Amino acid sequence: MHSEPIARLLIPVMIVSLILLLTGGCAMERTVAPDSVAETYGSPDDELDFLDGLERRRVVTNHDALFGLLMAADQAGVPEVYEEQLAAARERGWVSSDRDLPANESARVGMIAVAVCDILEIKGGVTMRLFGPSPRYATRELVFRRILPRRTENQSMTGLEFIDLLSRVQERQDFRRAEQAREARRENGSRTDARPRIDEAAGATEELG
Amino acid sequence: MKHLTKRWQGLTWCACILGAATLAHANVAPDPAADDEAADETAATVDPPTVREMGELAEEVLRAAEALSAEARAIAEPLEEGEQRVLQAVVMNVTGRAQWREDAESPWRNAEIDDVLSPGAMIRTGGRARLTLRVGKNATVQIDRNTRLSLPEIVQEGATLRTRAGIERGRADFKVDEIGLRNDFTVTSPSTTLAVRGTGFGLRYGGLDGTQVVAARTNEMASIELTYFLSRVTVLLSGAAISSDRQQNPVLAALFQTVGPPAAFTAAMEDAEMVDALADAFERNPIVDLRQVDVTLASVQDTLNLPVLTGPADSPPVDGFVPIDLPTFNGELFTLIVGFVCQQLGQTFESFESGLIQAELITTVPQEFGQAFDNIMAICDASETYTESDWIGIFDEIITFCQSIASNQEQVNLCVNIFGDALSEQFQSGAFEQYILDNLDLPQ
Repeated sequence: MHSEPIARLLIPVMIVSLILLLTGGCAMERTVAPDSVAETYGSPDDELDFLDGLERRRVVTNHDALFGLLMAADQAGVPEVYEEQLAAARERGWVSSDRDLPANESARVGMIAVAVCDILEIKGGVTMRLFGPSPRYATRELVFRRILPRRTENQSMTGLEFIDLLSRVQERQDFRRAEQAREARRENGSRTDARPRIDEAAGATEELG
Repeated sequence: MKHLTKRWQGLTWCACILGAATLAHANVAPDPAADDEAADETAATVDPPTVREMGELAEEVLRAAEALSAEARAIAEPLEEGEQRVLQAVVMNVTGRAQWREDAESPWRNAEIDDVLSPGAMIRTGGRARLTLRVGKNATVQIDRNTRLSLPEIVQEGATLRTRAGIERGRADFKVDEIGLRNDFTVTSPSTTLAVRGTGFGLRYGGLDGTQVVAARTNEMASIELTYFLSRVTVLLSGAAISSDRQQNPVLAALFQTVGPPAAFTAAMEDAEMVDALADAFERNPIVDLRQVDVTLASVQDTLNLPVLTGPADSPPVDGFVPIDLPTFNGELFTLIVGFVCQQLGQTFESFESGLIQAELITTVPQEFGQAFDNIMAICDASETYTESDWIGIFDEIITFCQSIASNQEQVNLCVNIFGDALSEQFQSGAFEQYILDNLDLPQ
């Protein structure tokens, strides 16, 4: 019968198809926006206009995401050009050096999650500690910590969602700064009174602001 | 009226103190036109006020107090029925980047203390900003970061103070005071309209969770009573409870925030039979049994007939722990990883023990520690090849042990993390690479 030669032919075809399917799946095209809000409002001084513009966007682009995240990480030193922002992101380990990241393509939740874990210095669970902050496990970590709702790393975000996420990140940054200020006070101070003095409280408030 | 009388008395005393301080300051303040020498002499030779001057001072203070008192009374005075007076808002404090504009067409301007905003004004804040407003006669609003808020209406109509505030994104905390007039305070978000009675509350609206009503930061103990628009159900909030337009009942909101809502949540809320099924699902989940829902569970039991979900008092909750799964790894890799963990279990537990003592979670090695070790060794000895369930089983044993020594959720998480650190040490020590070389037939 001819069944054996056909089977021999089918197996390589199926393997090739599977490889094509898998690589095709990985290289699935993402939404590309006509422009990014950060193109128009790309300076930290334009922050409020940037937020207003972003709020109405149905998808956050890589340019908008990197600008917003770099602002959250370091408001003073954010470069205005996308290429420099991308370089800064690569330097911080948010984006791997071999990965192309078109400015107007929709940002992946995974990339945003890696950046958030870096900004908030989240070490993660055992897996993330062992294998590093990959987009997959950074996303899971943020879901676990309720910073993100249930999402997967390849999804995109709307502008309003991204602003909400930025608020959560900045809120936790405030908590961390307050916690660090308290720890520093505990280490430096020899006082037995746990309550801060008025001048210290004012200093901590300024630090938070 | 008794409390009002007390308030006027308080105001009068405040006015007395302020007035006296002001006048005293005016009496001793150096004349700016005088030269330094004269000023020094004046400071050295100032005479105490005479009895006559003291009498005049007292009269002055009383007049100021009466004026202030009358002004305060006038503020709380109801208008004639049908009469309407437009009120305004004043910026009390600004931190960071904050802007406002008169209406949707006007240009934005930077907010500064004492800026006066009329109804229709819009306010927006940046990432590290916060702005406090006094709105009308009776409300204080603290606008949080990344927020845009509008004030379409601030008006006194007869004996009613009517205020409308709209949050387009972000969060604002409201404190509404009782000043003897009727309060009609409404806050809207893009998905909800809330008519709120109470002293303090916060409303936040964002893309991730929609509208959420939370306790105001300035008043964590506030009791909030609110009714959702087009809903007959009154929701009561206190402390850190949250009510949202998706989950109006704060108890269920807290419950689902902890355990995650089942897929059929919406249907279950409307279907009594589904509620029972939902309750069964909760009962069967062993993790849920240990969780404590720290809000008034009794009210939910009365309403929905849910079973008691709180565990025994000595069972700490494991908040949100998700067993680590490695779905992209095949069976051989699990065999390698679990096999390595088994091989290094003694050293891992030594490091784990010292970590626990250092973190002051234990002072002496408890019996459960040895039990956990034995149970993991039993997993190790059960087979020569391992699967994902063995990997999870090891962590289940660690969690069980951590629950037995911890008194709260933070301690459980800390304990599990200490084990994770101990395990990481073994993986990073170079022994793992050697183990792989020893157990894999790698081409030379």
